[in-house]
Amino acid sequence: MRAFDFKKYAFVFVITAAIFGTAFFISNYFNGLRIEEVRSVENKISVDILSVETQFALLAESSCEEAKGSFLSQEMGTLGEKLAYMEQRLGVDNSEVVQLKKHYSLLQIKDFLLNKRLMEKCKLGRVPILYFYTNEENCVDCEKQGYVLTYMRENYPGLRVYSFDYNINLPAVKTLIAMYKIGNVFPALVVDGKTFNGFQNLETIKTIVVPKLEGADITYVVLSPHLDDAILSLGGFLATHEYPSTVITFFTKKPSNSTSTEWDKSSGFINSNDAISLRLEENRQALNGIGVKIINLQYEDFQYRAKPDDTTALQNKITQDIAKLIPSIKSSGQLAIVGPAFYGNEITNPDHVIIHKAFMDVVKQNLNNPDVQFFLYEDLPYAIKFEHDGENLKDYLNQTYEDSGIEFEEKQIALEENILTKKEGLISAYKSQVKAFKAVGEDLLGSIIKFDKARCTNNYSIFSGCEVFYKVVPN
Amino acid sequence: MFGFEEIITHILLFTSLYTEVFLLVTFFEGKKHILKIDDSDPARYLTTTIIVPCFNEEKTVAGTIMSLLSLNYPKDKLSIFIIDDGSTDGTLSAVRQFNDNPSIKIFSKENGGKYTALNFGIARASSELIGCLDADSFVDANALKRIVRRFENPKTMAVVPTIKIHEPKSAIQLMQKAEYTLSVFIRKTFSFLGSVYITPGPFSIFRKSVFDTLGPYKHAHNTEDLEIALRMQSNGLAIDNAHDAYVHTVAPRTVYTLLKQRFRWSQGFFENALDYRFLFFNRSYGNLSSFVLPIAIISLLSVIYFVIQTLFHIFSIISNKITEVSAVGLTITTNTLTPNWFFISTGSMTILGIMLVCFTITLILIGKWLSEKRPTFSRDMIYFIVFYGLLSPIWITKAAYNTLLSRKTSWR
Repeated sequence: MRAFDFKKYAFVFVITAAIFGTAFFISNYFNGLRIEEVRSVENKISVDILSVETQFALLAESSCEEAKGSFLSQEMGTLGEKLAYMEQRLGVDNSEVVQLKKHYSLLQIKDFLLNKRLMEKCKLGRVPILYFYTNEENCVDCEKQGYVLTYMRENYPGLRVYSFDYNINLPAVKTLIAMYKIGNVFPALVVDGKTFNGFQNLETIKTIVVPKLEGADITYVVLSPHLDDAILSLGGFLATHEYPSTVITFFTKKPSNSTSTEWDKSSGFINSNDAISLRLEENRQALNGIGVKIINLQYEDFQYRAKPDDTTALQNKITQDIAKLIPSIKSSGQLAIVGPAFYGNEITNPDHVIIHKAFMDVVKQNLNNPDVQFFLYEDLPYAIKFEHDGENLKDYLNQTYEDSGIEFEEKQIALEENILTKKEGLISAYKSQVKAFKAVGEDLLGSIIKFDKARCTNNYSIFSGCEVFYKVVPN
Repeated sequence: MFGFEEIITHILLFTSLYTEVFLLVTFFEGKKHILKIDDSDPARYLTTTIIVPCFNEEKTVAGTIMSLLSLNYPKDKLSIFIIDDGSTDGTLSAVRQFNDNPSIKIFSKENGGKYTALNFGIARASSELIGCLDADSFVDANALKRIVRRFENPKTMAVVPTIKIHEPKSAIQLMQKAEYTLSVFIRKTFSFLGSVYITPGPFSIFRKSVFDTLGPYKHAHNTEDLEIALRMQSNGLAIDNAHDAYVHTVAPRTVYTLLKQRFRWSQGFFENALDYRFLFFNRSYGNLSSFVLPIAIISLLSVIYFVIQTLFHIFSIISNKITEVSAVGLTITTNTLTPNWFFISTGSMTILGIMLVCFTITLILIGKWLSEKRPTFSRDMIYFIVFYGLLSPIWITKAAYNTLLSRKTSWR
């Protein structure tokens, strides 16, 4: 048995400590390289931002293209990931990491402000999201929100996510927190100036963000057969003021021989002239109130037409009218034309059938026009009856147009509580029609709002109801 | 900067590194004492009895006996005791063929376990040296001669050989081959430290006086070869190593049989360590008590610690993935597909881990140099590095768990 040799144990301890020290040295060396890399990326971004700012200050509004071209900082996202990794490796309290993070936060704010100015002037189709998280408590929702935003950023290049540590000791971030009234609920998001507290799921974020990304430069034209259909079906969408919109109403002509129909009587009108005049006024008030342009075309309503069943010539004329609209309404950017959907001849009003068919003829002629998108809107109140039959409209439409080389994609327009309330007000503005429906035992306003509230198939946490578009796509 | 988990991990990494450096320093310190292989006759051929305990080993026992008969050792100095421990297969008839050999005595007794078979033989032996050879092992022709030369030192009371895996084929056997090669180095180094604490079943040779003084083998939680060595150490009896005396043993071929064997060894180690706890941290027992045994326990426990840590990490990765899937569904993010040096771990733990693996490979290479004189890198080392870390935690954890609950192992 060999005796315990203290010197040897001490000697081995020194060697081991030296090896251990070497491992730490190597590890620190690499961490140093990482910090250097993050710092150099930050410096590069800061120079880039300064350069775009200067360019922006120098150039007039007409030079948006150049500003767009020089626009930078996709690196911002990867920089964020690198910083998060450094935080994990070196700890959130590491002074170098804290310093880099402060610099990063400032760069983000500068990028955000620059982006905002560019978007105002140049319609860039970018959406900024400010995301506030906390490291202080175990915020599982922050982690989930992080995944959602990363996914969105990776899939929607126009989306800019700026993430801020709520607890970072930086006056600029504190100002942002105060500006957007970020409370103590995490995560907190600011999208387009609006603050959302708590976790927002992927569907919700998509619903808020995607239309803004896609529709940066889109004008919507809604085809309304009669003087209320646009609002009954899309009152919420039009009330959001998201896009410049125009409503074209077709059947607004006073019949040459004044007449008095049952419907007009139950609407409280003396005769057809009275009816059209007052309804035009109802329509003007409702649409003007939400900044929608009005175009009224002179076609006679089904109830006033001498030969209501002779529709072919009428439909062809309307097709030509719609086709002419495409070049005339807008000279630049995208145009989206939204026509009424079809629910079969039994349910749908004959005038709606004509507009639908005329619109679909135009769609078929312009399927490959890159400047125009076509949508059908879920036409209320007919959709209520259709849904009652338990059928799916998308499938029905796809079946109807099976051989036409097109298909339909459902797009839900989610509406916040206040927008839905606005829609109620807009529908109420069509007093005569609400009254006429009441006379036949139907609650127009109540049934539409009820339908909208039940229409969202995704479980949105911040929305109260949905209106539905069906996008026409070539198949 | 470091959390509790990281501090513990670093302490364990330091301990592992310290152990490897200590062994290396010890080895190079003692290297000059390593004798050149020399097959000249020993000063005196000591009379030797080799006991072969067998229980149901009809397939291998004949080969074992043949290898003993082929030993380069004077026939009149060598007795072979075949002890059939109540086999129920054809073992007895397999050994009967050697009935007429004057060197061989065949005994048959009721089954009582390996240690009873050994004691049965020891009680009937009158030679100067007594050894044991498991019935699944084969000795090299010069092994005994080389061992006996170690007994020229009058203080040497037992000599352990170098054990090699007999014809390794499966990945599991190749893994054990590298492990046994590492053991060659460790055993040699432990012998320099005077701290060999196992006299393995295959061909450890004792002076008869060891048994006369200390008494026979004990059941010792099915690891009588460990217990007798600890008993010798506690009584100050020296155990040497003849790294040039080769014994070949059949290694478990499947994961199941390996786990069963190692589980018995590990639990035996824990139980005997408990029985001989007075050996720990008692300076009068030298390096064994202040270094070798504590390190053995620490390394076994650190395996358990690393397993728990790994499981915890796997759990946290899975739980993160679940959070991600619940947030955005199943997606492949492009970032995970593009490697970037920035995200490759260069933490101190990773670097120390890599250093430990390099040290371990060095130790295996030295073991190879000792046993084969060819210190080259081979496939079995890869198997060892890949599989050993996966498998050893299983038997160690189970053995520790059972020791805590004092369960019994079964021999076979």
